[in-house]
Amino acid sequence: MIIEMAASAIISIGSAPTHGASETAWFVADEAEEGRRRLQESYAFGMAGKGVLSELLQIVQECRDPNWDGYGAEPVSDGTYHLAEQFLKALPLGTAAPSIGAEPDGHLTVEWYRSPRRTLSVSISPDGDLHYAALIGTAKAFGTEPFFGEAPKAIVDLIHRVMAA
Amino acid sequence: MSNGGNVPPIDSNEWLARFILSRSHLRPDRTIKQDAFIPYPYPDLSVTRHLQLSAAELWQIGCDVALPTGKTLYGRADVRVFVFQQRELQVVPDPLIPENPNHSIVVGWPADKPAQKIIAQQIAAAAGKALEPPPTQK
Repeated sequence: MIIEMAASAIISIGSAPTHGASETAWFVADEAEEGRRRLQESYAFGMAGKGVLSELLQIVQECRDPNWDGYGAEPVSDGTYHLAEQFLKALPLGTAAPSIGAEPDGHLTVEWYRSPRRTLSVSISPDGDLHYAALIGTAKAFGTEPFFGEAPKAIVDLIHRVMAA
Repeated sequence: MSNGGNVPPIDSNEWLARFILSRSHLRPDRTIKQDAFIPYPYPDLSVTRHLQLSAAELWQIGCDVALPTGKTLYGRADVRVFVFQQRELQVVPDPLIPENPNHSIVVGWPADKPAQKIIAQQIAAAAGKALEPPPTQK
C-alpha cells in the first residue's frame, strides 16, 4: 500500500495526533510523522533546518550552571530543554525562525522580533507553562497557555501578527 | 564614586545601568532582550546608578560583578529612572559597601510572569542598544 501525502497536508496537521486504532491509522500517522520530521530538517520549513534547535542546545549549555547571569540565576534544567524542543517542533511548519534565550528564573525563551515595538517572547517553564508577552505597535498581549504537545493557537496567532509584513 | 554614607535621593531623570553578563540577552544588533530585565531573585532587579561615577568607574563596577564569577561582561543597558516609574515600579537605593555604593534595586514588580514579561519588554524597548565595554574591560 502506498499512501502519499502532500507537504501542505503535513504542514496543516501540525504534530499529527491520531485517534484511530487500526493498523492503517497507525501507518498513516507514522508516515505523517516521518514526513514532518523530514520537513523539520528542511531550511524552508523546519526549525531544525533553520538552526533553531542547534541554538537551543547552545543556550542550554551556556545556562545550565547556577548563577549563569552573574545575578544568581537558576540553571536551565534538562526538562525545560526538552519542553522547549517539543514546543519548537510543534509549531506549524514554515513558521519564521525565532531566537532562543534564557531568563534568570531558569525559563527558556523563544522570541520573534521585528523591532523593539514588534516582538513576541514566549517563556517555557519547567512545569510546562508557556508564558507569553507581545508588543505590537501600541497594542500589547500577555498571558499563559499550558503546553500539551501542540502549539497553542493564541501563540501561533501572535507569531503571525508580529511577523506580518 | 559617590559617597556610600550619604545616599542622595533617586531622581526620575537620572540614569541606571544594568550590566549584561549573558550573551543570550543581546540580539545580533546589540538591542537588548526582555530576558535581561526579568527580576530574579524575585522581587528585585539589580541596577547601578550612574550618579557621580565616571564612565571608567561605571564599567569597573560591571567588571567587578563579572570577574569573581568568571563571567564575561557583554555590555550595559542604560535606562532612566522614569522608565521604571512609568510602569509602577520603584527604584530604591541599596548601597553595597564598599564595592558599589550606587547599587539600587527596582521593586514593585507584579508576581505573575506574563505581567513581568510585558513590563520587561517595554523597558528593553526603551533601553535601545547595549553599550559595548571598552576593550580593556571585556
